[in-house]
Amino acid sequence: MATVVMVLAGLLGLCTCALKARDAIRHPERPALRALCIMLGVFGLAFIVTAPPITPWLSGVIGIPNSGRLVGNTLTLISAAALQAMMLYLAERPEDARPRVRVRLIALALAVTGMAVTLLGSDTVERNDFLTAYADYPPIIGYQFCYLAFLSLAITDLLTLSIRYSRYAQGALRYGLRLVAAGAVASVAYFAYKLALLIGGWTGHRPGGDESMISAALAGTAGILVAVGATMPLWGRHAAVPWIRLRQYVSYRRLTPLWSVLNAAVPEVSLVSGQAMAGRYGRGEIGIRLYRRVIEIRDAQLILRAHSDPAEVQRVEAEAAGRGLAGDRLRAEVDAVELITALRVAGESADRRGATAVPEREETDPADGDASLSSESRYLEKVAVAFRRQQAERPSAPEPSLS
Amino acid sequence: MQADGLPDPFTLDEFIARLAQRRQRRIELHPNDHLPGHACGMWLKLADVDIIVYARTAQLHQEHIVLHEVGHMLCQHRGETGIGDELTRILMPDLDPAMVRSLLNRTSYSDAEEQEAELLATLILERVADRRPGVDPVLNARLARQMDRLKSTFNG
Repeated sequence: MATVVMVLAGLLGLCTCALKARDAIRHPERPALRALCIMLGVFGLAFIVTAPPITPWLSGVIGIPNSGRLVGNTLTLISAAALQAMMLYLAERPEDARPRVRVRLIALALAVTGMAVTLLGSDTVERNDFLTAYADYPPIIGYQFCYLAFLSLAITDLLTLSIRYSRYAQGALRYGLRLVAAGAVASVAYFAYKLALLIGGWTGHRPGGDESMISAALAGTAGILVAVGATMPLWGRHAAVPWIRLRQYVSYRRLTPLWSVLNAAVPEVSLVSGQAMAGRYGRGEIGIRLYRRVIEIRDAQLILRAHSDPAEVQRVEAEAAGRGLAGDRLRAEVDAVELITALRVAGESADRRGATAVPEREETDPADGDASLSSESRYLEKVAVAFRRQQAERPSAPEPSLS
Repeated sequence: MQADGLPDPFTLDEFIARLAQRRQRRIELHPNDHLPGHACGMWLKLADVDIIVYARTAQLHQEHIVLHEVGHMLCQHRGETGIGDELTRILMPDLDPAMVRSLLNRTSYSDAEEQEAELLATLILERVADRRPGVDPVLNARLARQMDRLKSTFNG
């Protein structure tokens, strides 16, 4: 199981590196992107190399006991250094970050040299419970010190990056950074477990369980979360498409009754050119169908507003405000009563274009929404609900018959 | 229509700036209160500048009205001269109607050019429907620069 998690994390790292590589090559002026790409690729290799059956195999190929572990841990630290470089390039301008990145690379070289010297100078055999077995053996204590000290710097950076910036990010980037933060927490657990093994070797209170399995599970979980989170901004938008389409369909259905009434009264706002605009859209084109609904409702509203009854609009607005409504909900009530009274007045008048001025009334607060289709359609859903309810409360209102 | 040419995230200002650069002509946007019975959008082509007048309404609707007029530009519709002088005087009192080389209104979609412009606006804005910028919190200059670098790194 641990092997599967490690290999899966490794492959994910390599795939995400490949995904990012094209942009990294295309934008040499973005060193942070290059560092992220190196981090993900080396990270992927490190996971594959440190998977339980692969490490001893690699040691066998090299011909030195535990050299597979040295290669895996070195790759992990290179990945950690790339992460620190990325952090520095994010925080500073490239020219300011470069000297600091060099210091980190020197620290990496010292850590890897220290690990190599201590491990190659030690007398160890290949085994899965490496740290448990050699926790009180000075060369391996030195080896672990070099490894964990450098790793702790990277984990601190990863936590800082993900928690600090996720507060200010939006959408897929925010969720991606939160996943990276979860990965950083798993890394802390991995680091704490390694430290506990080391301290346990001195004190005699060793944590239970299979060292190899627990290490692999913690490191693999961290790797998967970081790889998935770091690339979420790339694929998150596509993954959300089914949900967006479903929500658009629901919105389209909810707006249809209001649109039908307005379209009957002001048919000139309908775009009737071509098959697509005639309403015979395929199911996959729900985005365009909803978009036309929204625009045609707004067009009709603009034309009809001149015919609304200002006194009635003010009365409904005051009543709604008295019920505690505010913001979009209050505005929706006002828009609905404007439409209802305009349809009634216009229906009684043969010349609905005779008006020359919009009725004066105090504007409600500006809408809180943005220019996105989802915000606008959800707002109009509120208008449609208010429109239906207000119509039901006015049974004597004549049906609009303007066309 | 090339989706690659559309800003991502999409903002009208960025789109208009790119279009003006490509056409090498200034484009000015002028919001105005809607006059009942008149067009809710208008494109005035002057010697060295294109002026788009649009009604104040919901934000998406405003952008649609502007892009409808942009549709006329992109489709190279010719428009007319001498019409709408009175409306021009009302909406743009500082502008001499004689300066206007052609004018196109957004009213109904009764002719092919209006339908074409409307269709183009629809296709552009529907395509970018999910590519709107979020409401960014107010950031100090240093953090804003860091966030820009973060976005360009992670968003690719």
